Amino acid sequence: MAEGYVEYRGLKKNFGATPVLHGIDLKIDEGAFVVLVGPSGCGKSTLLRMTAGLEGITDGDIKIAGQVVNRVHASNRGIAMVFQSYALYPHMSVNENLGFSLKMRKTPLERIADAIKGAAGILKLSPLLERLPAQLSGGQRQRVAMGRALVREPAVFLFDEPLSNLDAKLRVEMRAEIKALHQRLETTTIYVTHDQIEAMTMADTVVVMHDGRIEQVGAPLEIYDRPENLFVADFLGSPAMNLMDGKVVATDFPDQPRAVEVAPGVLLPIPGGAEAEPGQDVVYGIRPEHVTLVAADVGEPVTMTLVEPAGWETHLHADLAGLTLRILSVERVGARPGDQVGILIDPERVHLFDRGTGRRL
Amino acid sequence: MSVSAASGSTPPTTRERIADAGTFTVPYLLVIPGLVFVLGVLGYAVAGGFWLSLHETDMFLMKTYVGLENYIKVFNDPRFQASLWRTIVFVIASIALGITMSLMFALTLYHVGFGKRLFRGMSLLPYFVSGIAAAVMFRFVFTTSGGFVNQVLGLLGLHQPSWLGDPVLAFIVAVLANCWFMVPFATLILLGGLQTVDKDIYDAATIDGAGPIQTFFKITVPMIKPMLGVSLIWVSYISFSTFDIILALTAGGPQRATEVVSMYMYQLAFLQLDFGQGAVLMVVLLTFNTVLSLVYIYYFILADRRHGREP
Amino acid sequence: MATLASRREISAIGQPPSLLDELLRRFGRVILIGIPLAFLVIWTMVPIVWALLASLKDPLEIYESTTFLPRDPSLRAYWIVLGMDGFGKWLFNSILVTLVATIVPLILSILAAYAFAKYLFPFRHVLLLMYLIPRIIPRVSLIVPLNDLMTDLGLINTYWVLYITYIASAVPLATWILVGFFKAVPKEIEESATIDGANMWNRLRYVILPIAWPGVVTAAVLCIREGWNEFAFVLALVTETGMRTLPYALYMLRDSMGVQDYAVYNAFTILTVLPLLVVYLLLERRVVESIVSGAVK
Repeated sequence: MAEGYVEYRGLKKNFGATPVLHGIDLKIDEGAFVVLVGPSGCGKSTLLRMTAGLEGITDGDIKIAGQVVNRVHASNRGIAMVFQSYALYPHMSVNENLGFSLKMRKTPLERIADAIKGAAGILKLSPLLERLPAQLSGGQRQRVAMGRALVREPAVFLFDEPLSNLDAKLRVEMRAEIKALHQRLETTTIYVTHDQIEAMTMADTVVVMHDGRIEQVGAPLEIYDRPENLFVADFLGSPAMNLMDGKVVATDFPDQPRAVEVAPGVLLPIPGGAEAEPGQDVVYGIRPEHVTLVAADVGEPVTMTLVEPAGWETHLHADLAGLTLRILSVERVGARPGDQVGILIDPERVHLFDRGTGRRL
Repeated sequence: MSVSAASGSTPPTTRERIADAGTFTVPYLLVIPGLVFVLGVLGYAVAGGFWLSLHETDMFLMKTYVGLENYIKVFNDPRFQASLWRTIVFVIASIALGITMSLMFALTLYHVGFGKRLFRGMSLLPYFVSGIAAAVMFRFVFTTSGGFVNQVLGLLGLHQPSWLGDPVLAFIVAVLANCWFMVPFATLILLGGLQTVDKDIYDAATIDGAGPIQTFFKITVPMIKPMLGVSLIWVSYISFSTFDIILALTAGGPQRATEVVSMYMYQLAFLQLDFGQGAVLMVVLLTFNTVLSLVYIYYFILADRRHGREP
Repeated sequence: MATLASRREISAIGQPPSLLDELLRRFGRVILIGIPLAFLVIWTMVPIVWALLASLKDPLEIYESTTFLPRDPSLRAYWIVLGMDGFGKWLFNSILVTLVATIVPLILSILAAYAFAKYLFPFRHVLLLMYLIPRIIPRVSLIVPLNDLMTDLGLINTYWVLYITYIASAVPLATWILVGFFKAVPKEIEESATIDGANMWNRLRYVILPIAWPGVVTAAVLCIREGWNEFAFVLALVTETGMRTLPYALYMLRDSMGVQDYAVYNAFTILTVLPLLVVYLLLERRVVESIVSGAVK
């Protein structure tokens, strides 16, 4: 396995007496687009800032391109960062903003001019070079922030929730632009966001973080299809996965020797390969899009409680013996609240988690 | 913003008309009283000052029109010229020292990690001491034998000069006292400016490789330019018309070393009872402040417009 | 397809910083902040504290070269000041004039500021300018014409002359501050009150003032300060001993009272300063906040 381009070894961080990161180990390959995703306060921004050199390290190492950079100053680490608030210098023109870092390194003027021209060309900023940040739109400012990073030709790009300040439509546009940029330049990128959709659509590798720890690392679809623990299962997916407490029981059915009882008398199927023993307390997980609606007498009986047609899909809530089930259907559904319908669950799509540890079974 | 909305389609009734008229006059009624005071007193005084400067006043307060004679007398008066010169030096010294100190204090207060409120509150104290009291305090701090400064110098084994007896040193003490009084206000204004800067920008500058000095001059200072402008103007205003402090500190001495324009004005008008010439000095003071304001308006507001920013 | 990322920065990944850098990093913060902070404290407090110490000393001690602290601190000087003939009168004058010079300008300014902030009436820009331009006028310069004017009106040595001049001087500043704060009150709240049936006075009393309270406090404190510390007008317009305010009395202490007892002199100074400082310290937070936020210029 090749040595990671960015590597975290046993990384810990305390703010005063409060531990924020509890030992992060991660290897990031060269040229990868890695997204750190997680709820507020999980430590992803802290990790990013430590990578940049804006926060100190309490314990552990950070390596960039094979060199330990713990003590290296932020401007010498070969990184460039795009901030959530863009952090453009408001009194400098776009041109000056782009060239600032090179000026600080005393790069010769022609090189600066060339680099600016190159970056401006890629990001379509050329007509805006003499403007001030105050005269630019949100999307344009975003691009200047990226241009500023681009100009430095860094080894690693760091993005700190750059799209949070944009409206929905612009966000979608910029997502595509950032991804296209990455494909063109193939620079290693670490991208922090709390939005799982950004994570899923942009990443080569997703790192789910929670409470200062890494919960799972993998390709987007991998993590989506096989969450390793409860947190990841619940975090990814919109609407969220249905999670119900239950107990494993033995059954009489020959092709389904085990099932999970989620409510008295309600037995739901489980995948064949699950390592679960009868009597075990588990959490039963099934994604809304994997629940099929059928006639009331064919599947498990449920009562509709909420029907929300959203145009291309329909969100439904159903009552299963007192538990609320979220269902996602890509077909128009004629059911109405109060109707009795049936559901079918594909056993191979079921996720089982040990109730105590939250780990996948 | 009238409470009685017009009904629209039908012509207004008399009642509505009266109500509307009442609403119409309300703001003027609110504004006029204050204006009466301000224009009545201050405006009249300024006008009176101009008028006085064109007249000669004798012992019995009879006034005779003399045209610009007072002005000619004053501008040819070497004592006036000296006082004007001194005032300019005083202002420049106060600005240089004052703004430097304010910046330093503002940065300090910005970065201090604990007791922020305590230090900020404390730093404004001198502003609440009257000019006379401040002058008295400084006199005792700088007393030749037994004053704080000289005692400290003595402990360090250095020479202990007669601060208030030496013309140059007395001038310096006057500048210091003026700064002591002015710096707090300017400090807080600059502090306000520092607080408006988005912290991410400092991070970006760090990553861009700007050292602390570069960051300060190339990023911080330009970003607080408006506040710097306000502080500068305010310090200039105050310094040019400093009166209380100097009067109680040195009374213009020793040997007129601290006789600034306002002091000479007092001398002329109240001690020599020459109101005409005194009024000329009033005009001088007023003119200075006015010119300064125009400069400010031009430089800061119009310059912003040039850059496409709204003031 | 040329890639912009030439990995140039890999070779630029620098060496760890030197020992000096490390030291600076550890202690830099303390030194860089601590020293100026100490200077700030000393610079601000020495004159005040020194006067305080001097007021507690024996009169001859003040001339001695080796003592900072009083050898035998006593409040003797303060009793003398308080017992001074006229002190009570001067204190009373200061309080009276300050009260009038605060309350009246506040009322006038609140009304005017409300109009400027909430009403769109013709000429409002010009009128506002007429309120604010007088701030440019240095007070000191006005003592010449004012003396002449007031002598003609026969108002010298009355309370009225001080009232009038102080009020006229305070209104511009108070109006400027209040307009800012009043404008900051969201329009919707007032509109909601209007719908609830509040007329202008009600709106002012129940909506604007409670919300803009910090602004009123700030304006009040600054008016109090002006009234209490003002000197030039008193100097020019008041000659009777009994009509003096505290700053003027302090000034005259040196000459006409022939006070040689420097402890008393300092005690008097402290006493003139104390009441205002107390007012300031009580309301300090509001005032500081207002200045820092740029509401006072």
